Amino acid sequence: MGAPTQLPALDPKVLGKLRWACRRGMKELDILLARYLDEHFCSASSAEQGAFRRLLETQDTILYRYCLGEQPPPPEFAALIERITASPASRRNLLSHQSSGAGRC
Amino acid sequence: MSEYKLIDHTYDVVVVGAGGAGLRATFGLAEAGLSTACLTKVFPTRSHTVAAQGGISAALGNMGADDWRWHMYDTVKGSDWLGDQDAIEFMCKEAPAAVIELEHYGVPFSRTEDGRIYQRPFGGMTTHFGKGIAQRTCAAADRTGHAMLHTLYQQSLKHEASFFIEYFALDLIMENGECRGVIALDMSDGTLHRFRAHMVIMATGGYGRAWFSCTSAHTCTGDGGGMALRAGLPLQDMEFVQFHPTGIYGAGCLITEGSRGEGGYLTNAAGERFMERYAPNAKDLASRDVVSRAMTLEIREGRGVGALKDHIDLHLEHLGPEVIKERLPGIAETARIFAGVDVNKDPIPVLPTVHYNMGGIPCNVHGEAITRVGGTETAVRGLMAVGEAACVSVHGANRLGSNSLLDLVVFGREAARHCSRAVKPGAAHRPFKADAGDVTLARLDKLRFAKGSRPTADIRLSMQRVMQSDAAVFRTGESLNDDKRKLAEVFASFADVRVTDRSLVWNTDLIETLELDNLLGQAVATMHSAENRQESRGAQAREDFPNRDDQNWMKHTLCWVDVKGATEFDYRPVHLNTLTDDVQSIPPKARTY
Repeated sequence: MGAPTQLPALDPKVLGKLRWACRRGMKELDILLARYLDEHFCSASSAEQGAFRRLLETQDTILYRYCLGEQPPPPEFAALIERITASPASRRNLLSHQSSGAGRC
Repeated sequence: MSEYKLIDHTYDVVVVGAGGAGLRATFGLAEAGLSTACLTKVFPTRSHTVAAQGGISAALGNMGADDWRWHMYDTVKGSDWLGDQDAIEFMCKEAPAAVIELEHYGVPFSRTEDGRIYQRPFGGMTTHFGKGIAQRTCAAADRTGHAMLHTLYQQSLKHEASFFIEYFALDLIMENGECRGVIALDMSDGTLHRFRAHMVIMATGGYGRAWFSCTSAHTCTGDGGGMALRAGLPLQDMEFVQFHPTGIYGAGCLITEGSRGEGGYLTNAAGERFMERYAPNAKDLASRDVVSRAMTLEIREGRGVGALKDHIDLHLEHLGPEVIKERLPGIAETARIFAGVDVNKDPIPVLPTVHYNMGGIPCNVHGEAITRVGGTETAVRGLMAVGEAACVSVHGANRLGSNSLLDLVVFGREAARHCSRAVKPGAAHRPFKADAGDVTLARLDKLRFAKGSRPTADIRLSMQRVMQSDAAVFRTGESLNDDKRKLAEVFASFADVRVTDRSLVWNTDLIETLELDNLLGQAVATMHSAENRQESRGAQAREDFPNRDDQNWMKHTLCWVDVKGATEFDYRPVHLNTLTDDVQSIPPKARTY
């Protein structure tokens, strides 16, 4: 294995569009998706970034079922969903996690 | 503002917002042959209606005797006699037809074994004028809101309504007190659009994000209320804010009231089922404000659970995994992810959390926006409002669970009917004045290039903390006055906001700043209205004025907020009269459960 590929810096417009796509109808998804975008997306592999973009196209109620373990996600999303829902759910973190405006990438 | 090009559009009617109310109106308008545009900042099926798990109330009588008059009685009593009885009569009477209509359009309601729509009990819903417990709430499993949104969106598309998706509405275009249209930013390419219409219907939802802990999605910033205030219009009954008794401690995520409908109950630190003391008949099924206040009292008197004695336990573990899985899907996982709790073994830590805004744009029973000019009540030409953005007022001082989905459908439908009577399809429009929209462009330009010292998220957090500390379940004059001052400082600090991104394309920093502008005006209206109303009624619980005062305060608050954050008040009478002779007015009495 060589050194991890250096990811090109993301265009702010691309990141802004993604951030808006993390705006959902349910607070649970707002919290989980925005947290992933802020904490993991920019350092994720390009394969995982691609999966995340595709995941955002999913309907809220289905995404909710994936995240809350009610319905197994398709294999391509399985690892990603695990990362999205496995982050330490410390109460302080959840409370303070309202989307933060400009991207942090 | 010549550097901003405006793209003009003309429609019979423009709807702002694509939640349940906006889509029901859009569908009805398009079906009536009116050219209809629906503007929405998020994709329609990502509106917050999708999160409505509980259901929709209607006196169908599928599970036993029921009558829309009992539903009306419950709603008037739930509203603590601040609801307008003509509007409540209309809503409850229309409910069965509205629900059956939804079923015909394709909403897959859960069924009884003999094939009728299954109905469950819900807080505050009774039979025989308070004597029995009603089973009145229809649900499509726990996805009622989602099913409604999809069905209504499909119906709107079928009738060829035009959707402008990911358009952020900036302002109403007003001309001599009349609404002529709306101006919006297309977030995907930064273009600006002026929509001219005979009628604009605001369906922009609530403003839960003005508080630190709320159950609403991040998108709930009450943009319509902000637009109305900037247009010089008042907001009504903003002091009435519903706290959901069971937000997960910490995250604010909602545990549906259906959990108590299915047999869940609350306990304090001593393990006591304390609701038996506060509401001997309804117990854990008493209406939301009664339960929220009881929980808050238990905590204040030192009987809260946890290391800090600052929350309450919600028990589902006695129901058994099968019932939880079948009747309350999603709750086990929500509790696991957001509270770290296994509901089959342990109680869920919960706390009253901001859930619904009873206040909004004042409207009559048809959805026409109302204001008062020189002490006289008058309809605002060209403007209507529906759903949580509106204050009809069917919820008065406190909304009953499962009455909000009903409100969306009944009044969305009625708004469309009203337009079909008032607007002739294709009728000619007067041209806009040359400067229509200029004030908005100046505001947009100022915020886009704002280079103060305070990031938007900072100012928002300051506002949320002030609102959480005193525009809360308990209120007193002294602390409300203190917090009016603190909120004025936050409001003033918005002049020092810093926006880092100068683009107009997918600039979420700018959009969140525009949303904050909308939230701030409504936060001020809420805090000032709460201080102004010297009584306790429904969701407004004043420690210094513990009783309801019908003689002085059985009236709706109207609150104007100017650009400096100064408020002005006037009032509207509560309609104790009914709409027809089908039912008698329900006279005020003490509200006990």
